[in-house]
Amino acid sequence: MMRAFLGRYVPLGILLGAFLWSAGVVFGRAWPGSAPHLDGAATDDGIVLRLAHWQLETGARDALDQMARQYEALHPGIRIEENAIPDSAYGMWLTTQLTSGTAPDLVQLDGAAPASTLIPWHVWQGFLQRYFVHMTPFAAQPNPYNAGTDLEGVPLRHTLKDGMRRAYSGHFLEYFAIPLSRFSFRVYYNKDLYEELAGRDTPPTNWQEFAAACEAISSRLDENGDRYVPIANSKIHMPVWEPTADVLTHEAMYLADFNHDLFLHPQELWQAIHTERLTFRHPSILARFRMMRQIARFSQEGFTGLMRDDAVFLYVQQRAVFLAVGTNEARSIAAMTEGQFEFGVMEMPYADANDPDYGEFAQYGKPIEESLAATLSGFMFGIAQTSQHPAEALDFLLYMAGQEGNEELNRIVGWLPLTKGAASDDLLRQFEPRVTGVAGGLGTWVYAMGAETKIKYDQLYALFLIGQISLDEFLGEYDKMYRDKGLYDFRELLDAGRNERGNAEKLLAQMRSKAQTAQGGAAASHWSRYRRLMWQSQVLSEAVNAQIRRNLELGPVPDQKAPWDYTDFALENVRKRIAAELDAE
Amino acid sequence: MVGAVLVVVAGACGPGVTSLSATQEIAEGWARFRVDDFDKAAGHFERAALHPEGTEVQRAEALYGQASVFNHRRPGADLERAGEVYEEVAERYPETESAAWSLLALARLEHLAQWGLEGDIPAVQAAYQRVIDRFPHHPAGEEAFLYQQSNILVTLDAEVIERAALATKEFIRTHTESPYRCLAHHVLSACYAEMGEQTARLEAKEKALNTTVDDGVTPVEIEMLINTWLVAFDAQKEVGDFDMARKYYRQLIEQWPGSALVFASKRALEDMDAVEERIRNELTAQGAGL
Repeated sequence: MMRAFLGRYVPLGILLGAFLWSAGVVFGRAWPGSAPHLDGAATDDGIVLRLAHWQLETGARDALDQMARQYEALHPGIRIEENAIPDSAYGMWLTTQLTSGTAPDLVQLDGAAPASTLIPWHVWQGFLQRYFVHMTPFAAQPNPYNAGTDLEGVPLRHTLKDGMRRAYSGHFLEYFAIPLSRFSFRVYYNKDLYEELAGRDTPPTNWQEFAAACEAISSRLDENGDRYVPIANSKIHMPVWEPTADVLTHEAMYLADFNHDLFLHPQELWQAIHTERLTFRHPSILARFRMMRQIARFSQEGFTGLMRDDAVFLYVQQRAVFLAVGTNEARSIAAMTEGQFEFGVMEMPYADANDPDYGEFAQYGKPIEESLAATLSGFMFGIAQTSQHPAEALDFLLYMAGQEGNEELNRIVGWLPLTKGAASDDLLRQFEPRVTGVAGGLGTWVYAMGAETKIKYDQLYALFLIGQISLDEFLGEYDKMYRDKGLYDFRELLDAGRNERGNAEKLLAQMRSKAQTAQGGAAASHWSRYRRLMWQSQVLSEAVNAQIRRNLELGPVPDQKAPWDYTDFALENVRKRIAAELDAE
Repeated sequence: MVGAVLVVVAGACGPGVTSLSATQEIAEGWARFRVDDFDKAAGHFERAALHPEGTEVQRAEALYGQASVFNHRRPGADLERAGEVYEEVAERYPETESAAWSLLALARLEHLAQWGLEGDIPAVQAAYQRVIDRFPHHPAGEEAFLYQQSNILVTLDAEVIERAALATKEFIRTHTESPYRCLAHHVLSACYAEMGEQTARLEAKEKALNTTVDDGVTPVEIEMLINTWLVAFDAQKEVGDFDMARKYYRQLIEQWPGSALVFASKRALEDMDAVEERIRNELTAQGAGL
């Protein structure tokens, strides 16, 4: 009997007990005033701020750690806990934390979703909008940590060299983070090896000197009979070399830049090719690909399949002379070669007007490396909407963005400061981006419009770079495919606009609701952004779309003007004015 | 046992079951709507619509909120139901803010269904006209006007677009305090572009630039930079008004020295000098030849 009793009721009792326990946990979390889900965020010791990032390198962790300790010394009662997540896992970890409401107070972010998540751009913008505090009002306020400096009283966004552009979403017209550092690229070269192999003691100042040095280097054999490699390269490093060649295509850009904004979109290139204003065999485009082939030839064999570390080790082991280096790794790579060889820092080797091969296309000089529209800043942090202490979280960010704090943060981590007036050391000063120069040219991204064209372009471009197919074969095959299949990609791009209009309409409804409930200056700001979004996403886009479709149907037109040509009407007006001036003289 | 479970489950639903005022329900509804939490938003709007102490205005807003959820939730949008509720708001509460925005939303539904296609333009035009007629000086009505003209631009028919240009000029003349004037100048510029009226287009573009509002919060630097550049470019290349072009190129160089457009502006200034010299030489040679 006892056995029957136990057999029937004990399992039920265990089940009921487990249920009541879990219900109690859920009930307790849902009850107002219960312990916040951010465990430990409010303790008897005061406020705890949690900060997460993906910078595993020692310098970055040290910098955040030291800045946190300094901030804590200034603000007793606040403790900051740092959590570094490997970037391969960061995306999935972050999205899980956000959707479950357990995100840390401060989160490292970028404008695009972490690569590991494969989240489309517009979906990621929705994440930023939904899960992070909008920083727009704070961007217009002075940073209190700039008191006593020349930045005192200046709105936060004007105290940063990029105008805080990196942290601005053009999708929903809000700031969502504060960037703290600036990045650029230079070329390190092994001075000893360079002098020995290239026979020069000064770095190359232009492409001609660089190419000559590379030819000399690659003709020499080491003690094992292997050729020296001029450029330590990899599939990660190769894109850094591309602006060297892209800048040659300026003349081609003038034939395709239909909206005259000096930035070429893939649709514009397609229209230019389709209406035969431009071909892939334009001399400047041929020059661009020839230079990229040279860069590939100066690199180690198989570099297109290698990762970053492979190139770095080749350089550190003194098997290669040149290595493209970003500011994020400038100090660490310098440290790796300390005591082994002396290294120099040089700019990317651009062709100049006297170059025998490329001079014709290099009349405009070096490209601008950073501008209001193309920012090289990063190391951004946003504040999660679920943070129990957003004011304190913001204050810590402002501390690191203040002139003194930003200089200190970047001094420790070895990166370029972003705040105006914050100084950097001798090594990093050589990485300061060039802020004057010509706008870029046709970047590699512009040659493909969608899935079909991108796959083909990548395949053929890779074969061309490693010399398996000639330039003629590459462009011949790609041109044909681009005109046939590219039409499909082009129409897909236009048709995708319809879905985008629906998403934008939702965003407008959300912005309108915010504007209608805001007060005073905040309301004016919300309405201003609402009207901007309405204009840029809805009002004129349809007319532009219609014009594009018309050009599509028209195809080539006799005596058609290029986008940057003077119209006959304009020249006639100038002629009339000058004729009148001459008559008056 | 079952009763205990029910009590626990009901308790675990937490504070959402507390009673809020209609105003609070509506505010919560929009807060949930803004973060794509459409289920909760719908619940708040529903409670607001049925709230015993809700006013007419609040009921209108609650219904408008419900319609917005039907319209914009993804996945699971129900555009037909959205249209029905928007119509209900416009008919039952015709003098409210929500009626204005509901009529605009109805017109937008009509328009977006045909976006990018050669659809039923008269139907879209009529939908917007309904808003304009009922609320001519309300933001919803002013927006409806701008959308209506952009829809006309799609036709690429210069004669039809000329009527849009006249209507837009009239809008600018009669809506002197409207915050949409800047956008109206942009629309006018687009109309003139299609009509081939380059001088008028440039004038409208310049007015759009000079009526851009800087509220001190929204970063307008990039927009101002690009629009200054485009006015200068069009003045130089489209119209041949070198005085205006020089004015705006120089303004750009001075105001945005870190811009990638500075280089192009400097080249443009040199180019205009070169063009003038070439033409002057040609005309002088012609005059000497006579």
